[in-house]
Amino acid sequence: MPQSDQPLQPATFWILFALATGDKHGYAIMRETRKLSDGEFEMGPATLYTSIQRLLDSAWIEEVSGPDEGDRRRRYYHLAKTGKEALQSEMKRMEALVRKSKALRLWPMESKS
Amino acid sequence: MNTQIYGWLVGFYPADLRRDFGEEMVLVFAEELRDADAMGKARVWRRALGEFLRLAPSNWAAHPALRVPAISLAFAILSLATEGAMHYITGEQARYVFASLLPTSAPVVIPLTVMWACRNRGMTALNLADKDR
Repeated sequence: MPQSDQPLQPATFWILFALATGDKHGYAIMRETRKLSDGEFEMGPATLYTSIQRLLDSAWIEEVSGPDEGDRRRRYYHLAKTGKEALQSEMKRMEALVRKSKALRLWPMESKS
Repeated sequence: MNTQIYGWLVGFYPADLRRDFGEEMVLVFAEELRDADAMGKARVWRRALGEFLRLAPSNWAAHPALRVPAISLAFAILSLATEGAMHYITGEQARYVFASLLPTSAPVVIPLTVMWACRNRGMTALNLADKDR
């Protein structure tokens, strides 16, 4: 798991971001990441569950009980406090990057024609 | 059929991932296929195979018994991909893909698989998963 001052891996970032909008099962996380990234980021089941496994081990997310009428094979995941802090830290890092690039007039990028 | 093949591939992932999430991985894969159109299904498979080649090899090094079938599988996938591309380019009949798969991959796949089977009697990728439990 990356240190809090290091950029998060894309899969880690998008899973935390998806769970920030509410508890979800695996497939719902995949759909939410696709939606949040406007289709720019997609991952398959192996990347999803390898990342979920690491996030559970680090206690950034936790397993919670789902709706009673749901498929019993599904497990639901919840963004834990440490995960929320990591996500906020990543967003602050991104915001600082954009602010700095604007100050240096590197953003918005001018297209060369 | 798609789900069965993917379930078989899951058998080659690291034991702890299979044990904790194998069933969910197959479930998610089935849901992705269910919701995808024809082009989407091809994309789902391409991504699944890409992940497989990227993530599963770390497990093969850890389990010597998996190395030979893994190499055989890699040859089979490579042959399928090559023949699939030839089929796409030349527009030959679809059966050409499977017919030509045998002569291109059999000399490698069959001896390696027999060697592996002799050395690891009764042990397959899937019952290895049970053994790890």
